[in-house]
Amino acid sequence: MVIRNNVKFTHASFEYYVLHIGLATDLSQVESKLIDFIGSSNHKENIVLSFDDDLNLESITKIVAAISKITIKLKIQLHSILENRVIHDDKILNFPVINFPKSSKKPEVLFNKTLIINEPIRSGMRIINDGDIVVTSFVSNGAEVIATGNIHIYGELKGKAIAGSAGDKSAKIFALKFTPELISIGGIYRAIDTKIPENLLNNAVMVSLDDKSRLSIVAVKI
Amino acid sequence: MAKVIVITSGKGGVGKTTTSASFASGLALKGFKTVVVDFDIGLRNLDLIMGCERRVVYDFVNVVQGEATLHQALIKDKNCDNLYILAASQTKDKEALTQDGVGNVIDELSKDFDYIVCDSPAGIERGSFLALYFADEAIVVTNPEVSSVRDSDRILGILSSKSKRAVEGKSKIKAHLLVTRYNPERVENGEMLSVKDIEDILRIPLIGVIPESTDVLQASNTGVPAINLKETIVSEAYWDVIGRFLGEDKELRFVNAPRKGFFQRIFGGGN
Ligand SMILES: Nc1ncnc2c1ncn2[C@@H]1O[C@H](COP(=O)(O)OP(=O)(O)OP(=O)(O)O)[C@@H](O)[C@H]1O
Ligand SMILES: [Mg+2]
Repeated sequence: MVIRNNVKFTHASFEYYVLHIGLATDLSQVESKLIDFIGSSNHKENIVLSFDDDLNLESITKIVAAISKITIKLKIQLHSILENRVIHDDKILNFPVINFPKSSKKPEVLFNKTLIINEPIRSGMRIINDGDIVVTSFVSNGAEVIATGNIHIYGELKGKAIAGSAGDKSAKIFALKFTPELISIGGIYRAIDTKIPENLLNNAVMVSLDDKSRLSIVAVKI
Repeated sequence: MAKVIVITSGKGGVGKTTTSASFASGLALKGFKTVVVDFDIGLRNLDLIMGCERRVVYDFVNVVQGEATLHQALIKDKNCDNLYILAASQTKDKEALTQDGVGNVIDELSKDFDYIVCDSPAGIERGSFLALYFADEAIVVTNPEVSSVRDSDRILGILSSKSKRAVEGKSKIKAHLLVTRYNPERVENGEMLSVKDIEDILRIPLIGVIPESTDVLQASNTGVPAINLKETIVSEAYWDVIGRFLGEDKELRFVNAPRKGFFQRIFGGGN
């Protein structure tokens, strides 16, 4: 059974679950996987299917039919199907085909393809990813990290970190050491030219937007 | 195969050319066949510091453009048999160097030399890019001030992302930090960054600290690389750099301001 990249991705206050299906996927286990997958989530209508390019349209259609039966039985609902090189139609069996992330007509959907960088991000460098970014080193003054998803810095963040760059207000920034020039989430910016409060200086930090769309910076216990 | 070492900094006037001349001389005096190449097209001052400006007939640009052979353009150092200089052109414009042209010269030099030392111009434009592109190792020359450290950080980013080794996915350029024009008194007064501050920001291994000294000016006026000024701390500091580069374990010197008690001990006599 191979269901890989089963990820949860978020848009505004919705959570989507992407179920990835490849040639080797054993459909008889999809049901239990879906049950695990949904857990106690309230958003039972937000299942998105994604398919490997090496599955042809005919088999994709069959699988969609099979999975939709399972979802009906589980009283959950398929939301949509992700476009790929094989799928070009607007719909498959009445389920909308969505393309991300280039289209802004459809709901902005962010797929967590994580970019992992194992070296310092130096001044003048700009790292951009459609998805999350993980940096296992530090980010210098004058460097920029821009992600449509979350940003994780396992070192000192001294430069700029821009998360949720396509508008995702639920994106977050994490840093083990936090002395940034600028932070931004979902289009809300703050240049940090003042001193960082003592309790945050030597702590790991999480940055998020609160319910009034204000940037909130909290220390994280590690 | 030669090892290519770029002396680079981003910021201007920090001591790249001074270091290129001393570093190349030191390696040559240790017995390695070494060539130092001036990439600062249009300015040309490596040959002055090496004291060979009157012997420049053909230069780097002439070779790249096929107007002279490498053999014709290489100038043998007056003091050291193992050392050669490839001068920059004073007249040609900066666009005269091409990536392929420089690559051919480096390949050609690689056959005959142990070390090719590239003296980079300031900035992050074409000239400094070409100087670092072919490097195997880099000496990042940094002065103890914020703007210089920031520019060095920038250069380190370029080394790790745009150099030939980076583009071709080979093992990374080995970068060394060299702090120059270091003035321990001013560091202790808080006017300048300390070596530790600089290491904390750049986080690459330190290969040496060259103190600020008027001896350097005297050296360049007389056309002698500073490493050859006997019994000066600048020369000693550059020799330490050579030692560390060749794998010797050398304790860091000349980084502390002399204590008051120091002079008393020397001159204080009987008290
Ligand atoms: N350790 C030192 N102590 C005092 N003066 C120094 C020292 N090192 C370099 N200098 C002086 O600093 C000036 C610049 O040095 P140098 O030409 O080596 O720098 P550079 O980085 O090559 O400059 P450019 O960017 O213009 O090529 C020169 O006047 C030189 O004499
Ligand atoms: Mg110079």
